[in-house]
Amino acid sequence: MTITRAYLGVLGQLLLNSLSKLLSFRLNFILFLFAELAAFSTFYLTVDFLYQHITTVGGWNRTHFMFFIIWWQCVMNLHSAFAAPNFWNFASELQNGNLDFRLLRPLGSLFDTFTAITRPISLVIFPLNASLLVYYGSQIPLSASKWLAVTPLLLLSLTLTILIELLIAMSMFWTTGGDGVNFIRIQCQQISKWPDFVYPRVFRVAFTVGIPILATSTFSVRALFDDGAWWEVPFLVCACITLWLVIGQLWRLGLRRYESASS
Amino acid sequence: MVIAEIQKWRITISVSMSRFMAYKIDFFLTLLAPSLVFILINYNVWRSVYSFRNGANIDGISMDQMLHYQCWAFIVTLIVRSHRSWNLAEDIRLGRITSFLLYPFEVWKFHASEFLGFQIIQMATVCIALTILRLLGLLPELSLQALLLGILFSLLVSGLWFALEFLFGVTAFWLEETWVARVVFQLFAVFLSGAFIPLELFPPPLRDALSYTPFPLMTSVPANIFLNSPNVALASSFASLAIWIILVALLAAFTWKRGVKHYTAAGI
Repeated sequence: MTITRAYLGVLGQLLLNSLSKLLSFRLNFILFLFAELAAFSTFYLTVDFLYQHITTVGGWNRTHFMFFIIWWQCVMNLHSAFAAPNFWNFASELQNGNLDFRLLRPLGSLFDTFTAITRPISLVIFPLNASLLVYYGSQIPLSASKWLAVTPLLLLSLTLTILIELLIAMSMFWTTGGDGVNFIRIQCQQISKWPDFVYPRVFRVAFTVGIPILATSTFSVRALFDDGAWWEVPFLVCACITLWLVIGQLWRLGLRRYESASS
Repeated sequence: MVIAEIQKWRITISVSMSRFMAYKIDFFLTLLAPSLVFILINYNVWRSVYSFRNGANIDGISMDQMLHYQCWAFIVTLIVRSHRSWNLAEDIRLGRITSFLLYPFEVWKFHASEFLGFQIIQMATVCIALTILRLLGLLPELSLQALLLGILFSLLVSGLWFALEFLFGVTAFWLEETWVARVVFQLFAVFLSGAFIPLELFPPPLRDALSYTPFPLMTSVPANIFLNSPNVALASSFASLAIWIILVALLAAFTWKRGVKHYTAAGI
């Protein structure tokens, strides 16, 4: 309990530091906000234009599809705020040897490395996405029990997304530069922003059973739409546990391989 | 004098090519993989959209036409949007352009040579991609005239894209982070150029408004040239593209001059 409180305290302090840093560059703040809105609006309009010419895709009408993309946007908002900047930072710290300082701190090194930077600006747009999620959820409509499941499932989608990206990021220990690996991460996000049924079967199996990229948003949302898809939730939990165990092993292996450019 | 200048360009291009190819996996992952994922998603989304409606046309566009359009949009993306000149902004911010300012080869020439070096490698990639798409039967019989015109147009668009990237890079004289503006522009460019949804499916008022912007020239026009579409007004498209390239290049040159005056040469 004391440890959890200490770690949450560190997270809170990091968030405050990021906020004050962000506000000291006001033009950047506005640009970041604009970028978030641009990403949101272009994807929203893409699906909206698509549904001006069709009625359903894979049994999902416009409302279902909009709920799905807003879900994905909510996950990405939280991801951009708490996780994304750390993957880029990890790549540069591995190259310039600054990872050394993280290993010396009295914190779990994996925690410290991947929570060091937060980007609170991404949370500014979160209320808009959350409101739209509620709007489209009520249009479907979701039952009371499904509404109760929304927050845990959203967090499950976020956790699985971060864990998959952590797994990919571990490969940076074995590559020359981390930029390429970070691009794989971003491409995985692009793949997961569409529901699994748009992809061919082979691809669907590979990216669900192999690396569960397609499960991150599709499984959670489908569990809300379809009672028969309940089994997809335990799949997500098992995937998270398995990935966490594998990441722990890879982190230890990677650190053994790490040569510290600064020393 | 001219020969000496050509030599500088030739050597810089050659060095850039070697640098790009030094880290092949990184080159593939950062510059080619995004385009491959782009086609993978676009192709499959449209294929499934048509499959779920049993192949029925969407606003007069058949499934084959749409999938061919997506394949050509991928080729256009490879030629036009793959190069990224991120270094300029970093060089400015960290004060590294000081040394460039002393060299007998201007900064824009250095970056243009780097861009040309990249495009030479990229054209080889395009040839491979075209062959693979053709062998897989994803593209119909190619018309040589349409192919050459499409490649020429796409290369000119890549020039426009380079000028835009240079302009964004130069804003580092004033901005802490330049990638944000670049990403915002790229998001709108991908959407409004018809890279995913062909402009024919856009609401008519928006389509009309877009004809006054460079966005349709970035994907829709070159993809339709490749498709040998009768809807493309070739002469006016080339003229319009030339005007946009000149405008953006002049703006980039003006911004560069203002920025250099503003520059405090950090790092000396």
